[in-house]
Amino acid sequence: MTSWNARWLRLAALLAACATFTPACEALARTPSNQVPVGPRAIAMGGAFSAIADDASALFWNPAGLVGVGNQELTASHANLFGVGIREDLAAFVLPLSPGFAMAADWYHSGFEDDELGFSENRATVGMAFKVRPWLWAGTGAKLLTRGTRLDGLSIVSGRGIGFDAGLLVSPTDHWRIGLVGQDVTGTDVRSSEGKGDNAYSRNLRLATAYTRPGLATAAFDVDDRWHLGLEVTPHALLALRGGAERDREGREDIAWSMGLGLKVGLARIDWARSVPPTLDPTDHFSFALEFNFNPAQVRIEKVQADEIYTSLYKSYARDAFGKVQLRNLQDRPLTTRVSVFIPELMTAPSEQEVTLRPGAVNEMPLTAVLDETVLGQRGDRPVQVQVSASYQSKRLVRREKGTARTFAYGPGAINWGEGMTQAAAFVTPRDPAVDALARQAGRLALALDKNPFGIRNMAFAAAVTDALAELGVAYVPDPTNPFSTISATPHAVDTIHYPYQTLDRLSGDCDDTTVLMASMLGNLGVNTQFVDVPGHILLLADTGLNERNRAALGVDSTLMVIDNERVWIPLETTSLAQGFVKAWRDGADAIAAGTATNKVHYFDVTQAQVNFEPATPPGERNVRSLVEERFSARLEAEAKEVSAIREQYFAARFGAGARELEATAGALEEVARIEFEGGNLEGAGSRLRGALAKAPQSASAHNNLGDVLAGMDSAAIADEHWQAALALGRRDPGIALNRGIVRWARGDGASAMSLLGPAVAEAGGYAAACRLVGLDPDGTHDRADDFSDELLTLRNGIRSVLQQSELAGKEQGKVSGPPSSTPILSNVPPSELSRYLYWIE
Amino acid sequence: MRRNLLFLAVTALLVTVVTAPLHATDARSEYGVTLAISGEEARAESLFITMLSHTKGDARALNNLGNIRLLRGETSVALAFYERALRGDSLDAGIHLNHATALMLLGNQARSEAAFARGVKLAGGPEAAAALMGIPKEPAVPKEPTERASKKTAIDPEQIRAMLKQAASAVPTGKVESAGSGVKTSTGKAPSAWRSAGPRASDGSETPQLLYWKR
Repeated sequence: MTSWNARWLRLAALLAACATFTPACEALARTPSNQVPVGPRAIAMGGAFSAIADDASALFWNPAGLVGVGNQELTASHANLFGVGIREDLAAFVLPLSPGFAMAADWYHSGFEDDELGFSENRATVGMAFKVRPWLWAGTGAKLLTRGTRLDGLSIVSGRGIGFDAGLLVSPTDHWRIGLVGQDVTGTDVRSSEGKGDNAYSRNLRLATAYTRPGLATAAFDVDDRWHLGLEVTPHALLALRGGAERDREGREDIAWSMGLGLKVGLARIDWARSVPPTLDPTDHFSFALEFNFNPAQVRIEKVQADEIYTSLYKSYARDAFGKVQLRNLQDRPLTTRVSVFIPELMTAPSEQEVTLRPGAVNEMPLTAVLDETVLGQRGDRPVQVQVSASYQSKRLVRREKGTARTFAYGPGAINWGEGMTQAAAFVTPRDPAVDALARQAGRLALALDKNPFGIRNMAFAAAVTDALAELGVAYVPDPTNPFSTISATPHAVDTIHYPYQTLDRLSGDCDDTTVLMASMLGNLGVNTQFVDVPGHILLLADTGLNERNRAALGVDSTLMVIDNERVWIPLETTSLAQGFVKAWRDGADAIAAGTATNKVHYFDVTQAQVNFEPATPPGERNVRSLVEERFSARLEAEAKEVSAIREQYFAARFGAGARELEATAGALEEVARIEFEGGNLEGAGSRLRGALAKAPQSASAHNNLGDVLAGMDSAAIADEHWQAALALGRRDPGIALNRGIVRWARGDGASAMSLLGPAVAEAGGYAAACRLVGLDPDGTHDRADDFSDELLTLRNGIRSVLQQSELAGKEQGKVSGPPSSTPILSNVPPSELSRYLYWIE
Repeated sequence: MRRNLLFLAVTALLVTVVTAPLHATDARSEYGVTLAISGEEARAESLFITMLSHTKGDARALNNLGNIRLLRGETSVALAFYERALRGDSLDAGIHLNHATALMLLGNQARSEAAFARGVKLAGGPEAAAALMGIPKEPAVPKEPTERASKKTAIDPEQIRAMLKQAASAVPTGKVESAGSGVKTSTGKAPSAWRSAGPRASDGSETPQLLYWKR
């Protein structure tokens, strides 16, 4: 069953239980519970304990809770009720028999004795509990009750009876429990030796709930004929403070208050509670409990060592260790152990992993944990406790060994440069709303510039981001107390990086702040970046998107670029933001050149670094800034002009003026036109040919070929003019006449076509030669149905036929009976297809 | 002595005469490629046509003109340019790969696969073919799909890579030829994984670099 289904099942069970229990509770709760509550812990919480029930008093409060105690527990308690001499004592013992089954027994005594009157009640209960499901526990108890009253040493009344309890515990979520308890479900009567019966405990139903915040507090609420409210706070693992209140539901009595505390040292636990009823005197309750296991420990936690925790890197601790724990397997066999790590201040649930410990050896394990994202809301630095526990199966029970270590959790922004510059990648937050809004606006405006004067798209983005920050007035302000140059070189020193949204809010930052800000904005626009580590300083490389082999496209010399991993990058000095893109670029190049001279430049790819140091966006309000679009665009255009000038200078120097001065010849244009024509771009081909004619008006080939193109565009009349012009230029080429004839034939003008085609075929050298001139095989052997549509096959055969007839007509000197066809072939075939069978002069 | 001097002078003159136009054409080709990659396609096109003025059927110019047409979304015309370029240089692996890419974009799967196979074989293997096409190595961090709206034709490097792999499997082992393109293998880094809905650096802008430009 998936956890999702299990959760639904729990909720359904809970709703069903509430639906059936609530009316019953409403009906029966009017019967007051007349059992005296037991256990100082429960009493201190105002009797709100039925959903907690996790110690030996569970047999009284909710027997289902016995299965969750998890160890043997022996407890004894005592109280002098209301200071009037009524003594109350309880002894209880819990024995878990397996992880899913437990038994318990208790003996309760209360009594009063003076010179004349004596009263005593003894109650022995045995119970058991088991796990129906991991989230549903059930328990039951049976009790034998005896009562006796003496007067002047003589027994005047005595009797005994039997009663039954039952309980359920449901855990809808990890820290929330619901309890249902039926106490004395059959009503517990005491029957005297004379056979006279008397109701001792009436039936009592309780509905209860409790919520636990691990390591911090538990709040609980019970309702029967009274409501009970309790709170237990654990400021320290050894200490618990408790308070509670209860009152009858009719409101006839005043509230009864209670409080208490508990101390836990090793196996022992001491609890005290004071209950303050509205009319009677207060009562103090004391208990002493021992929690133990009969089976000895098989694992010992030798050492827990926790390093300092940097909350900004919290995601990395799920994989990268922040310390280590040493576990010794005391057995001579391998032992499978579940190791749990929990930091109450930084986590909502423990992180667990299963390991196998080698026999007899100390096994060292890295400490890793899934910290809660709320850690980014932490203010300042704080000490934290790392709790490690090792659970394993010992005989038929689960034993748990515990160890702790203390360390510091630094607030968001803290960084130790000694651990490497790649950590700064965790501060590169492209998704931050403040970054996203500004980057998008800058990117959009950069793309709106006419024809991207920066040339490369990534260059335009780099310029836009730099100028956007300059336009907003983001200034480089070195940290006066902890300058980067000093603190980055000091081992173990903890520096602060401001998140990009913070730098945008403050409009200032030192080099690490402005570097992560620019990296974030560029990252938002899809531009990869690298941190550049030069002595005492950090700056940025932006990916141009160019492969190394295309570096010339950048249009600058090699001093203004960095080639890394076959990519071309440009350096950006983020402390020069205020002076614009080109200045930041040049300054970045200078900084790298200076570092290279001393061989102390290191690059760290931000995207790669984020695999280990995944960024997280801190919570909170954002000051989203926007650009004054006209002013920004003007600035960007001015910047673009400067970049354009640099590029043009470079291109002129590299390729020479000669590279641009040659003019396209008519021949070249015709060559391109031919290919455009083949590719089906008739308009483009026509344009090229007109260009060719403009350069060479006497070109018969250009006229002929333009005629072909125009025929393909269904402009037969103008096409014919160009063919005639080609002939008028004195070109003796039968192909031109073939073109004229074929087009006329295709348009249904058979007679006219024959008059042109006959001489043309003859001049071409016959039918076969004429076919080849127009790109047809004479015998049609290449006409396969797979290659041509039916219409095209008809067209090809038609052209062959008309050429054959024309040849015959030429031989018989015009004695043909009539035109070959009077049906325009173009009704079935588009002119562009026909034009493929026209003669082209290469 | 005088004979030697005369010989040197004649040699220098011949070298100047023969190589000067060649160098000018090389520069034009390089400049045209540079312009095309930096988005100045119209200027690049003019340059390549001037190369045809110098040498009819110049395979470099025709291949690169095909690339420009492909970038404009005129795939059929691009195909015609590649086919014409192959007439001039049928042993250039890069032109075959461009040709195959155009066929792939036109949906002509069978011809595309055959052309890729030929290109891979001539290149000397799929890695060399990928390098010729400017396709980076497979990223360590998978790249999220991006909108590719700004260019009329956007080539998906993953698709080309898949075709090259498929083509490689069609080439018998140990029978690859090298076109001698001197291509270095890429060392490849993981690309950025974050993508927003705004303007993107990679929205098809890498497409010019995913074609083979003949220099």
